[in-house]
Amino acid sequence: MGELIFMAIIAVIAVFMFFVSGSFPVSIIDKSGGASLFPRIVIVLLLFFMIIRTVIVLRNKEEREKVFVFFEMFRGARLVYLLGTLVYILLVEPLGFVITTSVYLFGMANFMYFKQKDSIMSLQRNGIIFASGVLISLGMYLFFTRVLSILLPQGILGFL
Amino acid sequence: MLEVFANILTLQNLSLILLGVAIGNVFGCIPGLNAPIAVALALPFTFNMELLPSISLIMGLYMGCVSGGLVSAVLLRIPGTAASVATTFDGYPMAQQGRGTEALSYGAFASFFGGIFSCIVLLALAPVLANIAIGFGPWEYFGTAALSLIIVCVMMSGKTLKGLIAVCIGLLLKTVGMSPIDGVAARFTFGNYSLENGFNLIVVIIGVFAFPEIINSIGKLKVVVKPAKIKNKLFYIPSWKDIKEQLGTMFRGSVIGTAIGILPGMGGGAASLISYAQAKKTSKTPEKFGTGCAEGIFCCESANNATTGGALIPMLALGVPGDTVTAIIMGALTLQGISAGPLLSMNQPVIFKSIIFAVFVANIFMFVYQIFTIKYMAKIVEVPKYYLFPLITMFCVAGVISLNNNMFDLIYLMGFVVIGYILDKNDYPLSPFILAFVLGGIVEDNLRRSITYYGSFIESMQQVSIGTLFVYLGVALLIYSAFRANRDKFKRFRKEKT
Repeated sequence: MGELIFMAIIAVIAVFMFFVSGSFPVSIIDKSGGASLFPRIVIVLLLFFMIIRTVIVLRNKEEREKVFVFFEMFRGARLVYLLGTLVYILLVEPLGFVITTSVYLFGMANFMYFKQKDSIMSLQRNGIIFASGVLISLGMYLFFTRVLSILLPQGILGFL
Repeated sequence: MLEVFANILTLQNLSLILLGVAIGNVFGCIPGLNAPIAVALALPFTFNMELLPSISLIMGLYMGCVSGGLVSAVLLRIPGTAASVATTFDGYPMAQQGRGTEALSYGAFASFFGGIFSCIVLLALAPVLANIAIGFGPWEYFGTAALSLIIVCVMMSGKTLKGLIAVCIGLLLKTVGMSPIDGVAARFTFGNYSLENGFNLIVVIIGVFAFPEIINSIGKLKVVVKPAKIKNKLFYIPSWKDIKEQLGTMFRGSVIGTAIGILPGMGGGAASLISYAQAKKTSKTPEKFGTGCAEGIFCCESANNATTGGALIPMLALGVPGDTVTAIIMGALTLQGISAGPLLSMNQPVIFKSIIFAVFVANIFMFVYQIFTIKYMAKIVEVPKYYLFPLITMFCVAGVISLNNNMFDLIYLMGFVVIGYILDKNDYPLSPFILAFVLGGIVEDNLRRSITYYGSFIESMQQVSIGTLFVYLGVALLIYSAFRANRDKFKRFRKEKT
């Protein structure tokens, strides 16, 4: 059933895109069918294949009862990892790469250690993790900016 | 030819190949990390490099990654990359019998053999194919790309329909951004200027491959597999007697691997499985397969490494990448101002041969590196996940930021993480999705050019050309695949009834 819901959502998005493509401007010298041609062909094909798949799922009990994996992604340790990474991504620009990365590495390593061992890290190990996190993120930042000339967010450490 | 040697045999390029091989081996032997992720993450480092050093690094990574999967396949029974699935069948039992050293050295030699073989084929075949492709117009390119997408779905036995849905989703996502040819419409951007260039391929690859694998592994953090012990020797190399006995097996594996590498989206996993099945069929002792026999390792390791040279053939000769890694390599070449395709071998023969020579050297380095470092590589598979996963995430985030320095890339990266996870976990194959994303631009661009040139799609279909042949072949393949699926279903139904 989950797969049918997934396909229904995709179908709704595809139909929406089909109608949106109607508003694409067309160049007067263009003889190739315009910007909307290809997306429309793809949408029609997508809907066609999904209809066949829906029929197969509906006619086959085994397929119908198959568990659709989606919500597992948002449960337990996976959810913590996803939220942690999302917060990291959102804060990397305002706070800067070095600070957010150090905190992220420290926090995530601690969390995963706890999840794997069912115990918290020793103070000594925490110190090592924190120090290596800071060194790795600082080293990475300096390597990217100074050696490769690629900008990474400075954030509040503008002096770096 | 001397110029080609001089290009690659510099201290800088050789060091970069070795570095690439070393890092690639690490990526390859850690389950969940693979060649597309390694090459995608290395791309920012190549921005400031010249062409040949960047190619040297990337080719080293590619070869190192494919062969690195062998280590965890033998010691943990977990293939480091999909290409090493079949290696677990005999590699792990061998390691369990205390012959892990032999298994790894057999694998390293077979990888070397397969890699060199496919390199020779690449050198021989790519210019020939390029000569044929020189006459290709938009319709032929459209036919080639469309057929590639159909083949990759049809080859997904039992998943063709899901593959086709994944292809359509990939193609649809590729249409986001400025339309090609006319360049007048910003499609599905909804006023967001950051989307006008579309979704970046590297972001899509990191989102679809790297993160879902981490998310999946986080659910199994408690599962810790202890690797099998290996002998502590300075270096490992199989005996001449073993090599002589397995020459035929390696040759057949290499032919299968190279041929499958040329086919779009198939990759080393399929090559090694097919090679394994073939070797078992033709072996004098098929009963030994699966119990730790050398033949079982030689056949699949030679096949999976041979796919590397095979996969580079359509990319270098036609400018049509056959898989994710070659798509990224093609992107790296474009960044360096080189467009892969039939004109490359004609207009820049030295560069063309230098690329192939870099692959050749990477294979040699990969073998030498592996025979000396296998005992250390075995340690890498023991690195705790709680250190590894946050570090990989950091590399992914830094890699994405470095592409455009645009934070919006990170936002849609999370969207692709969800898409990748849903597709992968529900048996929607990812390779057709990625290949569609890679080839989407080529398909659309050439379809519209053909329509402009011939007047309509119907008229294009009436042309006597290889493009038309490919389109009809694609349709015939789809019909055959549907027929085969129905026939299998009917057979199953009859069997159940009796």
